[in-house]
Amino acid sequence: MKKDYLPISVGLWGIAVPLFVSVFIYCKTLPEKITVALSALIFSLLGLLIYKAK
Amino acid sequence: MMHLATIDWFFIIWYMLLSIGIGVYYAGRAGRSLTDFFISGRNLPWWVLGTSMVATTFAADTPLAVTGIVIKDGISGNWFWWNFLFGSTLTVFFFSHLWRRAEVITEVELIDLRYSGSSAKFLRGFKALYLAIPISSITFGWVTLAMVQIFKVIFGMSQTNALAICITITVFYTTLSGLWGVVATDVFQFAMAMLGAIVLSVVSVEKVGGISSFLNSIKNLSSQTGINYLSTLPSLKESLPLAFFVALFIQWWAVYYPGAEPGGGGWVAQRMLAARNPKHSVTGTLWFNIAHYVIRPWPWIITALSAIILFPELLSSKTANVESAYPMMVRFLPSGIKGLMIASFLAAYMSTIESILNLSASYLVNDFYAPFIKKRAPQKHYVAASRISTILVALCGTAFSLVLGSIKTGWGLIMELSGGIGLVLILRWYWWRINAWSEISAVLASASMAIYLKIFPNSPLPSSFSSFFERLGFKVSPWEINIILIVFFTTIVWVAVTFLTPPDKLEKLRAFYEKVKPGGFWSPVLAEKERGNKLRFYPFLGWFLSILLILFLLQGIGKLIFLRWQEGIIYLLGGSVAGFFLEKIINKINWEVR
Repeated sequence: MKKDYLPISVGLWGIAVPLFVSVFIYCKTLPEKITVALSALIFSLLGLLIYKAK
Repeated sequence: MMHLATIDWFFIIWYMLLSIGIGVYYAGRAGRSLTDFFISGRNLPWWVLGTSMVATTFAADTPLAVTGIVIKDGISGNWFWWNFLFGSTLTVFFFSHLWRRAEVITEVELIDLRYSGSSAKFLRGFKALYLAIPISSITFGWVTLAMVQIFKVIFGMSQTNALAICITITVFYTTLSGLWGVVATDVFQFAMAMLGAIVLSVVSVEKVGGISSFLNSIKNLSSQTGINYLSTLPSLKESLPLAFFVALFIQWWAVYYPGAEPGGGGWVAQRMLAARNPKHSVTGTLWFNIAHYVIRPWPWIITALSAIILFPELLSSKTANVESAYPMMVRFLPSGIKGLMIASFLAAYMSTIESILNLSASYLVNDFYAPFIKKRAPQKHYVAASRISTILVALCGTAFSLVLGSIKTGWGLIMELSGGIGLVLILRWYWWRINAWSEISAVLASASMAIYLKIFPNSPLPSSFSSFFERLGFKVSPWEINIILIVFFTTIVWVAVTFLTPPDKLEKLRAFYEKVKPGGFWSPVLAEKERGNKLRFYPFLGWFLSILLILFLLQGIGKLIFLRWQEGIIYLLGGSVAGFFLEKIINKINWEVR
């Protein structure tokens, strides 16, 4: 099947990966770590959802 | 000046590269025809077109303006823009499917489908130029001004070089990829912009000591200033602000405001026209409304309230620039996230200007160049003309941003210039008697009254209106008086002109009705058996339920954030019930043909 919106998924995953890395390297407090990790997770899932979308 | 670490720069540059990459990917498709360049081949699914609408409406200036409103009037001040909910949801149920059925390329082309004669030709050409140059330049100008303001706070200087890079990148991929690239980057950029807003609100609350400490501090400030910052409705103890009255009863149907045009228009109409079918147009526009009113505002509101706690001088100083409180909060972010936040500002900015550029180019080429200058040229020629127009519009907008005074000046100016034309735009779909002269007179009347009030602000007319509303017990300011006067004057003018000029040719009206099938008041145009096809009940119920859904969700999320669990859950349950019935209604209505 033709993936019309693949570049959007790639863009979202492209942000999710460095976000995950930031959780361990740059976030200092627990709320920061949770927010950034959750954001990275949401970006990954959104990317997946769009990848699967028709 | 704020210090940025290497990781911050990484996020900014990486975001830019991803945006360019997404835009360039679609360049081939956009070059095929005008339909591809301006309405993505009419093949967009609801989630893409709805997200693109909300991304465009979420500009760099929006969080700043909302911050200014919240600091000045508390959460209830947001009714200044929440009122547009009534008009936007009206568009979902009464107009979004009609736009798609009309199968035109731009909002302005509808004039050619709906009206006849030389007045229609004049209106099409005039409106194409009016929307593409002055109106788009004002919008482009205030969005760019907001970005300059953000750079000033973050970097300590205007950073015009950075802005020039930003505009150049956006113009580059918008010129190449048309609406295909615009909507695809919009989806990515909306996610980026929301990410930045949410992370900033969490860090802001943490900075004031957590949510309980946040709530206590806001309550203390409320008792000191007498403004209930957490209330979503204005206080009825003192005299009611006229602004609230105008917002609730006039603004949403009368004023042509970008992103909330009565009956749909601008980039909202462009995306409805690009929908896969009428139902995708309806659900996409509904999704836009939910994202616009429910998902976007809370992170900004939380950040604005935290800013008052951390910078109390914002309340005491009369000269403080309250809008800059939002970017001031960025300094509390840790390295890495700071860069992400700046990228999110860029995302909000770029998603708006790319849409303005593509939309304005569509008016210039589809509604001015093709019908009046170079008729019947090959599609490739028009696509090339569209690309050149995109660059020209960018140059005009950049020039205007250099002369615009403030963001709010731009907002107010647009509303005043278009006061009173909304009702004509609504009725043209449902009442056969509206003609091109109704629109022409409305545009001229509102613009001339707005200019008159700007030149003579102290003339007897506004003063007597002002005293009238003060006697009724309202708290009055000049802007609302101007809006009331403009709407009042414009309505009298266009109604009179409509009845003094002949109706459009019956063949034209019949062809429009046959194609769009709007229902409503078209008896003289219809055959005997088709008469009686007036307005139906389900769209009204859908409109009512969508307002309930959005208000319940908006309130419910707010209550949960402020730890009022019971009320929050009740509101969310109410929203779920409204949503359940709304889905039934959307599936019950036949959007394809009436």
